[in-house]
Amino acid sequence: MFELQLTAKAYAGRPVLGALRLQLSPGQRLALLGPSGIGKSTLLNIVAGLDTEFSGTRRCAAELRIGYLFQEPRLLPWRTVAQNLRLVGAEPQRIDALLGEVGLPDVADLYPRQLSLGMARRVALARALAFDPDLLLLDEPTASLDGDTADAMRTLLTGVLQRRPELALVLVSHDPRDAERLTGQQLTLAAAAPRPPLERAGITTK
Amino acid sequence: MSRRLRDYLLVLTLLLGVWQLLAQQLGDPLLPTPQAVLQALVREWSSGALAHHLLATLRRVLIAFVIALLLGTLLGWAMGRSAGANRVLDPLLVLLLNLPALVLIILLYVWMGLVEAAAVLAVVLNKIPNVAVILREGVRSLDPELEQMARIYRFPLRRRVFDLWLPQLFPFLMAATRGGLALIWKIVLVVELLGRSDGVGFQLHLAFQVFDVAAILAYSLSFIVIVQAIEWCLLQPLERRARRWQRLGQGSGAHV
Ligand SMILES: Nc1ncnc2c1ncn2[C@@H]1O[C@H](COP(=O)(O)OP(=O)(O)OP(=O)(O)O)[C@@H](O)[C@H]1O
Ligand SMILES: [Mg+2]
Repeated sequence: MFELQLTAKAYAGRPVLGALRLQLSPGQRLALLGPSGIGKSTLLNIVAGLDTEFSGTRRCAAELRIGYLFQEPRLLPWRTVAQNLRLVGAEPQRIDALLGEVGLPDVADLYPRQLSLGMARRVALARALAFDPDLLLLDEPTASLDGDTADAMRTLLTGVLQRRPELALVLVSHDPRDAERLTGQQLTLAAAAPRPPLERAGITTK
Repeated sequence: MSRRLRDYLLVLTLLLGVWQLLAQQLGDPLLPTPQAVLQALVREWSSGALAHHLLATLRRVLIAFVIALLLGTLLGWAMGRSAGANRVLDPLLVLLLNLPALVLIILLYVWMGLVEAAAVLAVVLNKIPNVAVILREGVRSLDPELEQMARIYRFPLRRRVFDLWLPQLFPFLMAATRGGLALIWKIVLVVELLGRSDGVGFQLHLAFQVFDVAAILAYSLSFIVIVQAIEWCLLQPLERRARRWQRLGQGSGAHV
């Protein structure tokens, strides 16, 4: 349902990602691991279709629905939590269920600024789910959370994925625990030679 | 809030007191006492002239303001979004910004005749560059990350306008509105003075010819009150409502 054949990605002549092939079918879960600055968010933006300035090809149906949990929550700060969910198409009667699923039954009328980072991220997850995606992209879902909160997030995500067997997933993280709990397929984005570790990252799925 | 009102009234009373004293000391008809101005006000009001001319001016101000805000916003939008549009339109904008209001008014009256359309157009053209410059800044400061979010979740145009762009542009629109009303009504007075037969500017012109300072003050003070009323009864409540999310979010937010 989705295929990306990346030859190279550079920012203003500075190479960031090397050759890489990604193929996804419904229900497939894939994790990409790698240290900070290696190009994980860059790759997800390409997968999401937000960044088209790369050499290679990206193929998917135009109607493929992608839910993207960005590294920052990116909620509209001037709209309440409920309104943020409504904006991606959630019917009013679904909002309570969606917020319940991410463990936040009482925040519908709060503004994003009134939430902690962990809560805001869960609301952003609820929004991604409200969109009824075929493909879910998670960018560092547990970064900057304390140990227990990060664990709770992993448990929450495990449940979300179990309830949606058809949902395909691409997760990027620097934390191998995310990959272990959430996916069956893990790849490490390795900095390719020569030295400067940020400059070339290349992987291929087998 | 009530403290601000108290200070406001205090300053106002003080000013009135100084004026009263000065006028009494001088005893010159060219500086009438507050009572004389009040009498002029009552006289003009009961003859119906005050309401008639205030409304004429207010109508021009509002029409010119709405048109200038709309066109200025569109222009600012184009210039903020596209470097090409900015290159082409920027010299034009600078020209309009530096063109004295008076020159534009005279030229339009000469070309179009002393008609209402010329009057309004002159005001609009004076105000548009102002709005465009403010809105261009606003458009440039739109958050690209939220833009990406809206693309991912396929926000239709209506939602982009009302839920994504307008809230971000609100402070800029507010700045354009505040500066706009103040600027526009001053230009409208000149436009009326030069080529209209109603409005506060026209009345000022008549009063000037007979040195009727009381009438001059009565008319201008009434219009100041109207502009102040718009600020208090319309703009400030609107602003409070639109900024609710910021007030509620203060202090408790763990991220920016
Ligand atoms: N818009 C941009 N313009 C130029 N360079 C960029 C841009 N965005 C990212 N980069 C560079 O590309 C590299 C990869 O960035 P990216 O954000 O994808 O890393 P990441 O793996 O997501 O890191 P982190 O784990 O810290 O989020 C970095 O060296 C960064 O400096
Ligand atoms: Mg990143």
